[in-house]
Amino acid sequence: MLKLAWKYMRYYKSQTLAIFMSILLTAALLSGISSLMYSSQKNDLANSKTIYGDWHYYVETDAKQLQAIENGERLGRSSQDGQPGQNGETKQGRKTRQGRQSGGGYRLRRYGKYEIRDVVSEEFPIYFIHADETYRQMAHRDLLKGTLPSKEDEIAADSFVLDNLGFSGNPGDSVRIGERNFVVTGILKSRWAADSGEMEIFVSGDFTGRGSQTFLYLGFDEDEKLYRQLDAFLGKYKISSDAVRGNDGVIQYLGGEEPAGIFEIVKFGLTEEEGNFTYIVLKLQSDYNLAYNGMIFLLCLLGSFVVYSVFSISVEKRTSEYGMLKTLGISGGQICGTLILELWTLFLVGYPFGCFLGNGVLSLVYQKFAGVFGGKGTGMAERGLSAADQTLAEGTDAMRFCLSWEAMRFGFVFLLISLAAAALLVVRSLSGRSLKEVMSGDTSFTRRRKIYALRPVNMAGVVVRKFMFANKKKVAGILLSLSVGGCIFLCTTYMAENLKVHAELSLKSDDGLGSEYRVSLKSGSLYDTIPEAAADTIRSMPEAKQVYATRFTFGEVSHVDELEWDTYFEYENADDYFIRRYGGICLPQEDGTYRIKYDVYGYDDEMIEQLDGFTLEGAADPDVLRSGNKIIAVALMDGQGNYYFYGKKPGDTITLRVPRMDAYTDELLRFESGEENYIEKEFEIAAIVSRPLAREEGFLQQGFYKDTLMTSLIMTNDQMEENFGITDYSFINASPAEGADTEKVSSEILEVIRDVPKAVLQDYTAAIRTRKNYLRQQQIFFSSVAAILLAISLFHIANSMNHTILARRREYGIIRAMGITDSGFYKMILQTGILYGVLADVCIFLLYQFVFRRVMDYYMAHVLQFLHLTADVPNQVLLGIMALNVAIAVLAVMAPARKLVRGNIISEITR
Amino acid sequence: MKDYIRVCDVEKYYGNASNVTKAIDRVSFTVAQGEFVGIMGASGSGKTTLLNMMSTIDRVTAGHIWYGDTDIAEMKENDLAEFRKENLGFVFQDYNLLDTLTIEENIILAMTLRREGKKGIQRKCDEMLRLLGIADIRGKFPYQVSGGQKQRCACARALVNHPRLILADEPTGALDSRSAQTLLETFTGMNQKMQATILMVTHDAFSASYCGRILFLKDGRIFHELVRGSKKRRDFLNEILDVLALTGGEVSDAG
Repeated sequence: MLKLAWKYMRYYKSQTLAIFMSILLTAALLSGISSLMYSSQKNDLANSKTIYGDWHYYVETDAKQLQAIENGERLGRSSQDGQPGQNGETKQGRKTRQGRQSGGGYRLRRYGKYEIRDVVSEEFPIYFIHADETYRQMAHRDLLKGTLPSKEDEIAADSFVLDNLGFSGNPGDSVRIGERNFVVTGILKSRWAADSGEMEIFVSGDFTGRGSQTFLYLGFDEDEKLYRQLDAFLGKYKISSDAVRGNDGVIQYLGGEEPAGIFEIVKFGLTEEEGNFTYIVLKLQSDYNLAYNGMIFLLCLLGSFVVYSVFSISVEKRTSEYGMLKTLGISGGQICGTLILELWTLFLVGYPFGCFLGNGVLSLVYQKFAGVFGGKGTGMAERGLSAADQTLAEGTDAMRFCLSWEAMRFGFVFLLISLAAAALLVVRSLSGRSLKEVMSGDTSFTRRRKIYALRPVNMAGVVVRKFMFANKKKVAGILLSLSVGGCIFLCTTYMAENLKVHAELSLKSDDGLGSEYRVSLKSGSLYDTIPEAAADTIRSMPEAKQVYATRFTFGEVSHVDELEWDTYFEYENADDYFIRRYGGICLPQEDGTYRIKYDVYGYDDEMIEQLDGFTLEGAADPDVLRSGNKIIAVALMDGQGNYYFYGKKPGDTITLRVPRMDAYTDELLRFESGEENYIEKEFEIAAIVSRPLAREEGFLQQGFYKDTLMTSLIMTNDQMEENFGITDYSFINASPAEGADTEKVSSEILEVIRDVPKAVLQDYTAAIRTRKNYLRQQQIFFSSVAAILLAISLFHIANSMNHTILARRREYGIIRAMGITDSGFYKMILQTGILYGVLADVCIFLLYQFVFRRVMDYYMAHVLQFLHLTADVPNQVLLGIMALNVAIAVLAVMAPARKLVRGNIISEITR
Repeated sequence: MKDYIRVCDVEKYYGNASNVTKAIDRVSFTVAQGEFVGIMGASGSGKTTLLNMMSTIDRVTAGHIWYGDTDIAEMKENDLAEFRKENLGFVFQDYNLLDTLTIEENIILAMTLRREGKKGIQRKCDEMLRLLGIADIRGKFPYQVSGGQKQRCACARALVNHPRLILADEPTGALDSRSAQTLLETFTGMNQKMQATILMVTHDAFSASYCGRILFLKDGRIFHELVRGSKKRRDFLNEILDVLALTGGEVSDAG
């Protein structure tokens, strides 16, 4: 059987090559893309550790419990030979460790102690921290200069904190914090480059503060699921899970939370009111890495389909031979075995080569495509860090390329089984017919007695069309192949165009990323502002352009009588911070209405015009806003791309209250004081948008709710002054002019805000550059993948059409013997090719417009949450694909036709 | 001689409800072990259809075909494959050789299916190649040799396993007279020396004259039978021609 399989492979060289190439390309695509995604995820994990720290959970603890844990862990380690996690540990050590793990259920790689000894909130909230070396390593708080503090009045901090404290000296110099002077002994690495959420100062063990709050930071073994290890750890030391907080940015990659069952997820999505398809997709993605695993599965499926298609054509040519083999006594099982041997031989050679090719090519160009996957392009900033901060913190260090062995193993097994299944399918198709039919060749269509032409005109053309379209299944297969390749390319182009728009809008909308510089206030009080004079100074800088200054106040929208999304504010209303500061976010009233807290912004005219890209209803026109004293409202979004604004639309009114600034205290932010402390006005809605532009971080955009709770109202800066008397600014965005020295611009702005209390400057120049690079990589990458898929489908088409024509060479020989000229013969075949191409174009149009496009619109809006779907496939691309289809169909028929015409007529007839 | 094959009321229909063709109409006959039987008839008489059914490559519409105690009409596909391998040898008009294998390999293929030893295979193959006079083309591919050589290869393949029954469909149809005679003499030799039962479909009276018994088919039915007995071949040939003349056709009509 092996020899017979080998003989077939050698004899049908072109078919063998076609199958081999299909396997090779599939393996290359599968291994390359999966390794790329895997590498991105690994690098994302590494980046997340850089940004958020190399730890998994922290537990608030007390001295007694801490002692118990330390003793417990010390005992566990002392029973082993060598330290856990070291390379080259002894066999005994490994056995003990494994035994301990299987018995204890966890392996704690390391843990660090973090103690808050005091908090000062004069300029900004500053935390006095005492931490051990392990914690500093986990949090990447490396010592860059000097030494760590050892005395009570010594401190070490990072340069961002020291800059904002006004310290510009060297280790050994003093700084004043609150009422005390401290000696700065060392400068630490910043927690992450752009984050300015918390100011930490590290003190020695001798420092005595006004309180003490201790946390234990835990780092488990990442080879096992983290949630299981945490459960075991908590169980051992009897710690409540309420005391635990996860490092979400890191543990999301490592099984940090117990996944829900797939069946439960699907059932919830399909049966519950809150569930829907988007929920299923998002939940499967978060719990089971749907994008990665789904991509591998789809690529395997595609590969199986392509190989099966090419292979079935190859087998069709030998149908009569298989019938003859059966007459010799070969059973269907033995024929199947021969086919399987043939396929597996090609597979065992082609698959490793393909993996080598795919991984090899991508490893060489990986640096160019490092930003394609993994939350850098289309993902949301979910962890309290804006896209700007995340990008800047990730930096532009070289990314590692990692091979996805898991995907390659899965692909190997999947394709091996599916190739065997393909052989089985082929043999089964033979068994349905009698041997006599099988021996007579391809009888996959029913012979009918049908009149094809009432007038005997162009009978040759009628006969040819009959040959080409007789087998409906084959025609459908060819049209599908012609269409699918084109559809994939169009869909990829469509997604890439919208990705570009989304990225541009994200750049505008994420804080600061549209502008290289952002001046903001580290304050949660309306009292702190950036004076108008400072904004004017920055505007007048010749090296700064697009200076947008935003006014801000905090408000409450009252008399909201409809709230269909009644659980929308569930988490916010239960949040301690929001309750303490604002008395809650959405408060139901006795009359059935609601009062909801809102950020209120005053934008420059240019910023209001930029809101056009986010408009859901109405129009964002600053003149209209000013003339009618109208307002723009930001709609609520449910996390699945659905928007809602209390049933209101442009033309309806809302009532807004804001604190008066003449007697302002932070207590007014609760909106529980007397009416005399507030200004209440009614505004007509001019437009409803999906999100605001630059946002204020000190109020509702706190921690977890950043980028999620965006209850905002927008008006012009003039209206802010006229309605509420607000003249100063809350933050300013600016960009450097063309050719300006960015460092000089940065230092000049810093100089302007030096005397503005609590003002800080963030520089996003590098982040913007990186983001734009990622976008370009994604577009190139997806277009390349689409082109490869298109090539594979074209390959299959050419093969099918070639076989369709050559299978009838005897009949074509007869037609030529009857007297058709060569040019007449070509014309006949050409018409058929054009007909195939046109039919395929119709299929593409229908499939793309009515099926794929709708699916993609839903996916982009609700799963990827692209901000605004405005882009479409350029007409040139659409027409190009259609023309390409016709061209390919014509080439695919003309090539074998040429081969036929060159052949001797009698030899064709007597085949 | 003991009956080896019993054909009982076999019918074969083609087509569907609106257009039915009855190819074989309640045919019954027996073939004894070691007989050399010919089936003759005009085009469309059903002789090839009958042979196809008896050789298991087509299914009967009704009736039974017994090989000894085994009714092949009731056998499953896998069992039929085994049956063919063990009992039957085919010689087709259009040779049906595998283009992917050489002349020698085409003959060996039939033996490898029976998992014979390498030495035995080679010995039998050499013997068959010598017997049929194609030893000098053993290394060539079918598309490189003449029609007669191909047919001899096909015969070799059919005969190499010494099957109990050899089924031949117009084996001399594409051969020149000399090659045809060689082939027929080979068949006769197999029949006489090895007691092979041979069933041969032919329209050629000369080829038919080598048989021991002829069945004449017309419109799907057996309308006449001739037994050679002890007659000389030439006399038997004349008898055949007389019967053919009776059916109203010349030899050319039967082609």
